[in-house]
Amino acid sequence: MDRKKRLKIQKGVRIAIQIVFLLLAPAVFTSAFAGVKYIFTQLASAQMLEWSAFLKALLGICLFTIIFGRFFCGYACAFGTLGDLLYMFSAFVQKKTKKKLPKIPEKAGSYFRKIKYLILAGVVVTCLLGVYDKFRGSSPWDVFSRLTSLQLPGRAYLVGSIILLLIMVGMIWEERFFCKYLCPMGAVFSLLPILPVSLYCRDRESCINGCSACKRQCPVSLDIDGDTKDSGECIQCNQCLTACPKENIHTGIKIKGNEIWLIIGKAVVLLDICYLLQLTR
Amino acid sequence: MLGKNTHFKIKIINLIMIAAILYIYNINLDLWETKESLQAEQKMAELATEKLTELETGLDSMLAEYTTQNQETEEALETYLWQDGTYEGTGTGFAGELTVSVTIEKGTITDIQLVDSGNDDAAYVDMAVGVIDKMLAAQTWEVDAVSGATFSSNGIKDAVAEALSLAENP
Ligand code: SF4
Ligand code: SF4
Ligand code: SF4
Repeated sequence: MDRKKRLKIQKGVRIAIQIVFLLLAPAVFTSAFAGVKYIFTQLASAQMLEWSAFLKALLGICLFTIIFGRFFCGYACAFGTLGDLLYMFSAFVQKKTKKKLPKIPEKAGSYFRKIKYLILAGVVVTCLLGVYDKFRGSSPWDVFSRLTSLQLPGRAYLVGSIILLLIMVGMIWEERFFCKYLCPMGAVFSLLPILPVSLYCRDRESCINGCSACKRQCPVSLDIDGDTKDSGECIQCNQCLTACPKENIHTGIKIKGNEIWLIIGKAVVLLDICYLLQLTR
Repeated sequence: MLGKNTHFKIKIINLIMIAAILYIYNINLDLWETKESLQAEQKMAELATEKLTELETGLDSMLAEYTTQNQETEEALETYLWQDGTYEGTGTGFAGELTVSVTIEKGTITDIQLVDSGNDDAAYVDMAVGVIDKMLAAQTWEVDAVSGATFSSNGIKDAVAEALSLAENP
């Protein structure tokens, strides 16, 4: 099979998997993050950590991410998929109108990335102080969850709805805007010790001189180099592998990482985990 | 410093420390709770022996009172807040209607079943059914919602409230 055709199939498979997860399991990221909130609310009120549904969701998804990398983010998260769909639309319009939205400079971007840790810290602190429930209506994820369960958000969610709209503007502006800069669940994932065999590396010596195609295609603008201080940012979207003209990028072991059998295999394992954790519809 | 895969090693050490802290927290809380409940049990036992002697002395007079008391209970049955039976009620959860059935025996809520959890996500419903135990213990629907699953638990509470209103003695 020639390269072009193979890449087309890979793209199609990714979108197909994303749609399947969007329809079957749109609440996984909120449930997993509810696990984080659960831990700190229990700590705040000096109560035992029970083996609850939220805690199981958090541990299940984190364990999967430690083993396989952030495949969940790249292929299964409903909010990530929303971002991809919006950006796909925006890229299409930009191409047609030949007008380009200005890019956020890389330097600024690398600072903005840290915002998600602040958001995570903010949520943790409000849980520890026991005031999280006061901010309930301002969570854009709750609004999104209501929409995926075909309910209107209602009055109480006014702040959350406005924030969601602003985030959607960001998603149109930059690919994976929310994931890169703001997602507190992504912050948790970034801090996980992802097995080095599942991280992407490149053979620098055989790179084309001055080439940076992989980095430009990467939604999180990552310098691919295996285990680095930013390696937790990689969402395993496999766009760098598609972009590299020399097929120079591969996982820590000697497989590339975007083989179709591997992708579908991971998706099936993840869907099973979601099913066992009662996160599917 | 740590050779190859430095970041991985640092992160894994962090993760193990966090897990260890949470584990120790849980175990200590467990020990503390068992200690508390042991102390409580001891107190109960002492109280029970006291009561027993009291009861023995008072048994005769109680026997005499028995007949009058019996009458009183029968009257009480009519003045219970709720009539015996099984009642259904619905409430709005996160994504639709939740249905519960409430069983009343001798004026107390003996059972609450979630008959239909509507469209709410299973993981949330799983958390939310925690309010059922609270309601059984408190014998009212007015208990705190399970935090993190507020909508589903409020739905269950509303459903129980509706069922109880059907059960009310006129
Ligand atoms: S970073 Fe957050 S929103 Fe983005 S895909 Fe991952 S969990 Fe979803
Ligand atoms: S383009 Fe490559 S390095 Fe960047 S997020 Fe996707 S898979 Fe990771
Ligand atoms: S796209 Fe390929 S050749 Fe170019 S820098 Fe990246 S890995 Fe090297």
